[in-house]
Amino acid sequence: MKYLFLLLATVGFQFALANAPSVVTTTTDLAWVAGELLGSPKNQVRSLLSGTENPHFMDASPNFIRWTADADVVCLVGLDLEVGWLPKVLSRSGNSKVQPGGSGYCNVGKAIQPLEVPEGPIDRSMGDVHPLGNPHFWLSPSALAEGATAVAEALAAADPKSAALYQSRLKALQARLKTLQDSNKKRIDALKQKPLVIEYHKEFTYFLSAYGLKSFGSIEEKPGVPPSAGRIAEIAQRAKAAGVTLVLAAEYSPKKTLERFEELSGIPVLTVPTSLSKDEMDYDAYQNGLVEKIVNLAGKRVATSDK
Amino acid sequence: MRTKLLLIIVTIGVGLSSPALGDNAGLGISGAVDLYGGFGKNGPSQFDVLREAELIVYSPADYLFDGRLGMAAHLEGGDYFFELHEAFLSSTKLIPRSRIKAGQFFLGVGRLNQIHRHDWAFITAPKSHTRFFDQEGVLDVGVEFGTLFPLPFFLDLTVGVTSGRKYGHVHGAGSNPRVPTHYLRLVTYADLANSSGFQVGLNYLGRVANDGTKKLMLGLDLVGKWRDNQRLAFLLQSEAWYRVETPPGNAAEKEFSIYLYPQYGFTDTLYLGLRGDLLVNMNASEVDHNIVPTLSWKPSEFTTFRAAFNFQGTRRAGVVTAAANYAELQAIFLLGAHPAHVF
Repeated sequence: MKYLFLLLATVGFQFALANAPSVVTTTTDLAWVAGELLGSPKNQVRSLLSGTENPHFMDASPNFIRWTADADVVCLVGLDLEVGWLPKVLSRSGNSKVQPGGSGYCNVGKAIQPLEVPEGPIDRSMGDVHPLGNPHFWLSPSALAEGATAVAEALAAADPKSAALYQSRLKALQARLKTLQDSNKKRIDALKQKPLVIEYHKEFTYFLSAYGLKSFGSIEEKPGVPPSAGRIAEIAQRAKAAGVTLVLAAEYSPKKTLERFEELSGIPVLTVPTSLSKDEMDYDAYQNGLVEKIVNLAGKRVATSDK
Repeated sequence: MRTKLLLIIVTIGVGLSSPALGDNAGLGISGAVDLYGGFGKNGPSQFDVLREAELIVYSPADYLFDGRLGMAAHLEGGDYFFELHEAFLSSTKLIPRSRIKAGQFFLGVGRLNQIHRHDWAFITAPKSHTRFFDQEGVLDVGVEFGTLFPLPFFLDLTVGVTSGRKYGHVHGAGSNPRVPTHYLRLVTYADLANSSGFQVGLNYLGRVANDGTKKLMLGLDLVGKWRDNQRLAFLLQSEAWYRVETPPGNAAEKEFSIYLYPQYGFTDTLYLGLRGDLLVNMNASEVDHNIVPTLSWKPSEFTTFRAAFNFQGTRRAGVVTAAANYAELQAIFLLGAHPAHVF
């Protein structure tokens, strides 16, 4: 009897696996969300990027095209983050479901409340400005929770029979992300002095906003344009005078620029991955780890300034 | 001619960018300008050449099809000629894993023939391209079908048939061929670590011209990219072509050509490459070669500045019969829609 139950359970699981939509996401963070909503069959989700790349600067790799050709759902960050390469991947895939407007096209950025939406006319003299707003929302648990709504909707469209299941998992995920954000915010709020943060590129804006951290802007004068020597010197001086606590930068940011800034300002630089690693798909651990690093660094800075 | 050309481009550009036809229709507009100058022994001697100005518009035509229209002005014999480069309808929604297009387009063979000249990694065409595809590329009116095989690795097949009335850069109507231009390209790809990879294509092209001259071309193209985040740390690009042309009643003329272009990226914006070209006329034992070091500065995705030096030579039966050494400069700027990052 026990073996019969096991057999039925195995067959049932395989059946569920076969029916679960095949999902491709551009980034690992969206793959994590899709995996949480799908439940067990996480092998149905593939991220095109591995988590170490700058998602602005990718090529439409032939393997991206192959993976997309087999997908039922393609989730993108949107807000023009993948504008250079994803349209080519989608069109070359020959997969009508995942073309813009198709049932499997899941633009997660459309479900969030974007920050830093530029006002007035913009052009390329202003650097790599995103006209629809800052696309780096996934480092904010609350923004990612908003975005997860779009993923759940796309999964339900691809697999209507499981729509209620995806909705219930969405609610659970959103509650979990809220708890995660609240607990980490308490740790930051408990600091004797709230850190003032400068970014290299505005990749942490949503993260700072989620945790009520104060921002001193970015080392880049224009987004996507490497800062000149004069700009580095000027912003280093201003940041030092304003008592900036730390610099947050993506691991792929230019090392020499960050070293020069640290040398001129004396402000420590914290370089971190801006996405989950394919080998460690744990959003809670990522958030807790990043907050831990900031809290430790901020604590040390306060201790140093108290002496 | 120049005034007429500018008037046409400006009218189309202004018309298409009007709110009535703007982004609500999904319309994308992009422009590219390619400025060129060269000087030296037996080479070009002009510094103020607007080599090409191109305007491309594209948009979904309806729920199934996309349309693309590309126009370019070229400098030929001291005057600018306005040409229609691309005008085709395409779809990726009709047949799963497949692409189809019909109209006028650059033939989907080889590497360079499918990429607009202002997107190449060097200033001027390698000898293999100039000899077999002309300065820029071969375009024609026809249909092309591409499909991605459902395999656990990347394997993509493109087949096409075009009118074959013209081949290469020819003005005029051309004449009906006995066998139209037909071609095939099979491509595979291997992923390497850190967003790097290697793509190889096998190519075939055939045509029998109106006068009975048979053309057969076989080619191998490859491109490898090694990325270190946004820096293209190393690029390796090559094409090798073998061509047999058999005029009626005459012996076959056989030619082989290859270029190899390794390029190193010092930074995200500064690149140094060295291209080597070889063209062998197998009937006449004549060998053309060219060595071209090329320095590229790309401050952004939208502007490129290049400097190159050509060491060209021709040998016949082991004796140097011609030589040219000249420098080249190039400036490119792109306007409008974001360019696609093609592998």
